[in-house]
Amino acid sequence: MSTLLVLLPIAMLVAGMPIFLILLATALVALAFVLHVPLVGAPQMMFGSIDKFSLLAVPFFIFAGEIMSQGGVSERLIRWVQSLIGGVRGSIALTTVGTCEVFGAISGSSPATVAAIGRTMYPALRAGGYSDTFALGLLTSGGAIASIIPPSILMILYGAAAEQSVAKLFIGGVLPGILIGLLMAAYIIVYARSRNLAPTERFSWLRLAQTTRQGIWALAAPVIILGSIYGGICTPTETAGIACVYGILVGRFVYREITWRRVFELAGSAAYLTAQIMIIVAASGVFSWLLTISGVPQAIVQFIQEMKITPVMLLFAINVLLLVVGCFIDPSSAVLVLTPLLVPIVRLAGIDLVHFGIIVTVNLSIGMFTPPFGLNIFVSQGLFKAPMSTIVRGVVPFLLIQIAALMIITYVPWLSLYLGQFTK
Amino acid sequence: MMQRLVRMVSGLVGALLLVAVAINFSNVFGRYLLDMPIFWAEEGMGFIQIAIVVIGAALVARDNAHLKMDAVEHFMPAALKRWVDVATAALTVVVALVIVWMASDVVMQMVQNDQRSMAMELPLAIPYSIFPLGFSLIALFALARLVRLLSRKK
Repeated sequence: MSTLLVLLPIAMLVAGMPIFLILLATALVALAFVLHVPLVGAPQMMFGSIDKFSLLAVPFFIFAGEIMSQGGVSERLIRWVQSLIGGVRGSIALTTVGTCEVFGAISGSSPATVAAIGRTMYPALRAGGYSDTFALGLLTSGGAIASIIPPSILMILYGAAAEQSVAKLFIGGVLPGILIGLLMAAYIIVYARSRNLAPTERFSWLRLAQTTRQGIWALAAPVIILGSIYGGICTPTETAGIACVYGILVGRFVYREITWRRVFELAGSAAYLTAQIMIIVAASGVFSWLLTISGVPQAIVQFIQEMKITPVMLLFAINVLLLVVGCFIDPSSAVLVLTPLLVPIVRLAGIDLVHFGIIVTVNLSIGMFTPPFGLNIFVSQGLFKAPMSTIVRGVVPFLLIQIAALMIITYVPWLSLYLGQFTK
Repeated sequence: MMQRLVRMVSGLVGALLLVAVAINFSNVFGRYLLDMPIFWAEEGMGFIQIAIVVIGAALVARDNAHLKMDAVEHFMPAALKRWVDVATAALTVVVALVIVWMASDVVMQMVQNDQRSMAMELPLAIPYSIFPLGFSLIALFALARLVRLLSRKK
């Protein structure tokens, strides 16, 4: 029976059944027929798993991201970053990375960032002489930065599953997010020089002043989001809700690019995306209950203890596992299923759980654009009507860059923990 | 009939999210500017979130869009794919009905014991009723899909 309970869920996963259904079905069968526990606790576990104030940040940040990308905020951010980076070879591609960093401070979703930035930057990159392969690779992989720069949906889910402060995780993502951006920028400069791409018009203070004035409301969004969290004014969840109101006011009354009807439609679509992610949170609550009762995490911890694995080797093994998992399973599900299993092992090895949260986030955000099943690849395919083979060839250099960054982030905890010292 | 239900549910979850945004804003505004925070805000938004997730999950089930690992699915022969779809719809109906059954028991217990929430003192049976309601919808939409799949010619 126990073997069946391991093999059957794997078979169901491979067959493509929904993850929430696999978690619920496995947990209910094991609790009822193996452990003989009354199932009446299952709905209470589900209720308790989603009735967490910190998780309310998920629908709020999804909604805020949708509102800001459709309400004219992303366009103005692009123009501002463009005016900031002028006169260097590769400036259009550098603008793309820079905008991903800034937009990442509003949106916590990687595919949403690819869509928001890609619509404007893809034609600009092609017109600037960049090959189709390079442009597609850059846009598909650049969106991953949004999952690492705060706010981040993945960090909120990890924080709930590992019982860690979301604010500390958010601040922990800042330096790793900047590191990835810098490594990508270095590659872009080398690429642009080797292809002798023409630089764009020179930097001018006048143009920067103009784009700053035009985009002041858009630029204020990341300042409000990060400022209110780290100024101790609001919790991340409250800030996410305020960002929604700000996005609606700016998109509706300042830029006048969205109607009330569109606001309502976007709320519906954000609620739909929330249900897709959070029903797995509910199901994983029942699954975690099963794991706790059956003593699986303790057994894994004991096994690892007996193996006498060093923290360095353990982190390497977990990185390989997460990179492989990230190729096949969406990051939200992977965080929710693996965190309860990995946290006891990592804690035992003396690894900081905020640092580990950043490693998990960076790792799974790489999975978002890893061929052949990364979600961003399908977003790019749909958005730019590009063949899959071109996108896959394009992401390879960026994949290698981000794996190199992941290794640095894994073995230099300072990057993830330094800024956290200054938060309450 | 089914289309009207889908439109209604879709409108409901969107409206609930907007209500949660409004409560959050009023709470922060009240706390800082009027020194009058809404004492039930966190609890109320938590209940709204449960409704968005469980009722929204029914819509996702209707579209067969729940998150899954679809790596192998692309390479499956059509006949096998059809049987996986049938098994998924059937299992969804069974699991959803088990949850409806268990959650109804919990709701009945809460009514008998008159359990109430901490801040609003709302009978807990009300937010817990979202589970039987939402999972009934999930079962209904999955059953409709199962019937569609089985009545479709191979």
